[in-house]
Amino acid sequence: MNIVSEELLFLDINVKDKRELIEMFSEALFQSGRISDREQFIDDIYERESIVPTSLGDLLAIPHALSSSVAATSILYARLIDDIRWNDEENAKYIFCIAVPKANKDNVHLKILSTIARNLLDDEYRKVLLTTKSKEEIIELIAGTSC
Amino acid sequence: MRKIVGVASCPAGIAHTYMAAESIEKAAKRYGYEVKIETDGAGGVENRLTETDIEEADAVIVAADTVVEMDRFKGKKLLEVSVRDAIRNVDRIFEKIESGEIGIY
Repeated sequence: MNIVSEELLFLDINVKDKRELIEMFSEALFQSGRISDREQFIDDIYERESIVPTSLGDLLAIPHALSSSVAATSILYARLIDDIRWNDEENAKYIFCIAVPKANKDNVHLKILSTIARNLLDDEYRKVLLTTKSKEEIIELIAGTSC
Repeated sequence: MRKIVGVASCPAGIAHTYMAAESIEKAAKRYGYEVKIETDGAGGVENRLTETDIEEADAVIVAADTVVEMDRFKGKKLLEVSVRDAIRNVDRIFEKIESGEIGIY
């Protein structure tokens, strides 16, 4: 299974808060057969957030979880019309979500994810995520990452 | 060439660890340092620092929200920062190092 697909990308949408967004991600993963348990995934995302929030400034947040509910490593992305509260200090508008199966300790996906995480600091890479109207382009950007 | 070494490690070890490493590596190059950052992530330790790396380093940056092996840095100039600061405020970290106002571990 590919790491990303069109139904995992949400461009220029509105959600009312962080909870609704994470639930939307969870539902999309479930509907595409990538997770087995919606609630478990949400809990694991929140557990990671509770240690240190995953917002990074510039309205970017990268919630992620190593979760027993995950069957296939997946990346979701949402670009919101209006930013939402992410934690006590920050808002988020560009949200990149990473789901990794807990059992998969040393798979090739972890390498790809680490490269994608590094790429997120690259201005050109970010520019595409922030501005493109094309899901195709985002898929190419992510799928084109090799380790 | 001056040299910086460091360790990056976040709780899940699948995203922020690598962003912190990337951020420090980029900044180090900008400030004219040779750089090597070990990443302690979900896939295990990559780019592990050798004794020689540590010996050669002018300063050590530990960007970790987890426990990392610290004994190896005894006697080195060392700065401990959060993963978040390594990603967001990396220039401040390097300003500190440049000004020499960092302690010996």
